[in-house]
Amino acid sequence: MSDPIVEIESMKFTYPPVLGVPHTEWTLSVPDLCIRPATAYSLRGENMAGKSTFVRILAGIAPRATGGKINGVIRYAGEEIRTPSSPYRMANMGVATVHQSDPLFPHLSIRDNLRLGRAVGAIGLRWRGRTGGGSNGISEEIVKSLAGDLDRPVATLSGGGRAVVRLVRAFQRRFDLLLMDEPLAHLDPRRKEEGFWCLEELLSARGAEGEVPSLILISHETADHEACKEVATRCGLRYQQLLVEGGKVKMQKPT
Amino acid sequence: MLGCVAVWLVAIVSGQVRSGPGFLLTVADQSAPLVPMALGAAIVLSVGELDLSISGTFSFFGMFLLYAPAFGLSPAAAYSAGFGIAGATGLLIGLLVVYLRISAIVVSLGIALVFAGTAVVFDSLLSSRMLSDSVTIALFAEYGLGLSIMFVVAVLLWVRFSPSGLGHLAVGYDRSAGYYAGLPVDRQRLMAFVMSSLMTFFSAVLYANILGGWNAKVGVGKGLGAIATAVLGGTLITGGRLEPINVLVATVLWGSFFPLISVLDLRPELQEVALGVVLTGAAFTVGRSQSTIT
Repeated sequence: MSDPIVEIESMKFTYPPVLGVPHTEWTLSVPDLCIRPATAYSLRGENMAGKSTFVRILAGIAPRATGGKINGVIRYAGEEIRTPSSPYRMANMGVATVHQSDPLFPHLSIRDNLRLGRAVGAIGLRWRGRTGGGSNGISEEIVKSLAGDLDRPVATLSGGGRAVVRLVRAFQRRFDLLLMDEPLAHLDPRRKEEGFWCLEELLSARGAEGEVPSLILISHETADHEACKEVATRCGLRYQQLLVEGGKVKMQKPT
Repeated sequence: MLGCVAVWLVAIVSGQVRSGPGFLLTVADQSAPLVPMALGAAIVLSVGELDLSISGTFSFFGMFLLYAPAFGLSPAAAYSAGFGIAGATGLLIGLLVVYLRISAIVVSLGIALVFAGTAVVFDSLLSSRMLSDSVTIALFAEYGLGLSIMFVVAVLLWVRFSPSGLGHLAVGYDRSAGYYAGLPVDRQRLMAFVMSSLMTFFSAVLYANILGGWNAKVGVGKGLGAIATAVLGGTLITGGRLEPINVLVATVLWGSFFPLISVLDLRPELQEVALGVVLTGAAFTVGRSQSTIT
């Protein structure tokens, strides 16, 4: 089996005190965990279990946004990272994120929102680096078919359209791990179906380019996890389940 | 801006001021040196931050050029050193605000006081307040307006067509969304402070060359004026919008306000009332237009 994308050893994340009052119940621990290449993970757990916190840690958002502290070891592609405190750095290392609460930039067009997902050169005057390559074309086709004209402002899109733009934006650069935190929540069944079709098309396009990334999907809906499993199977990904329970993240044995 | 235009029209109609392109050009020429500074203020505002150091650094940079020959610096060395100090100042403010999470208001105000105080110290040590011939550059004095317009065009191209310009406005609109999109949020904020400081330096250079001299009090009120013109030029104070051409127009109109109102022979206290009314009206108009942005 190839090397893991992410290795976690005895990691513990603690939120900082709120106005001096510590809230220890918010500690999340991950004993030992490996996120392997070409695998789709379903991440389940009750509300407040720490699912979103887990993916936000992997994306470098939680420590940055909350000021929380991480103890333990996290390795990305073998490289040890003391604290993944910069989402920008994690994005450059190959971690893409799609969050339900991830606000787009409504005053900008769909095209500009997609552009913002791309990697930028050191002095910021041109797009470069790990771009989505050939899958950019198919991305635009998908967005046109599901959300409409690319010059349309995002403010005019429905929830379903915005979900598609969020998903497609994540595919604007190359990545090894895609973190999806309830990306299709609150959408009707048809829009969800479109969302998973979009995911499958994008993953297939990546596969055609010889890249098979891993993904982690958080959802409360069993149907979403079933759909994720089907997409994974069709795109040649292994499928595994993760569970967050009592503030601990653990791998579930296949049933 | 409408207020400034109204005062302008009153002045022209009452025959106090000659209308025509010549007059407009004179006003634009006089206001031009402040355009880079206003653009710098707009760049910081549009990324969702505030830089109050402008007036202090502006006073200092001009004073530095005045003092440079005393240090034995050649013109090239004087301008390079000033440029370096400006960049380092912006970097320092940015680092303190972005990475140490200290309030931009506190940091920039502190820096403003340090530089304003240093300018006063320099001022007290100098016998002449005229710019030495060795550091005077005629190009800056003669083509201040042209150079300022070049700044406007450069910022316009940057905002409209470069990835970092697009990222700048996106980060200013919603920092949290910028993190999720994988944008270099911290770097964008840091660079905004550096750009503001560098542009303040360029403003001081242009202003000093046009005036042909300097004193420590030149920057008083200029910083707040730059922020006001940035806002009147349509820059969203909460970030996400920057209109360089509007900032240029607002700076020229702002610059024309004081000479025009003094031509109208209003008593000083009434001049202040008029300024207050114009500012409030302009802020109301800008606020109304911005409230339609979602």
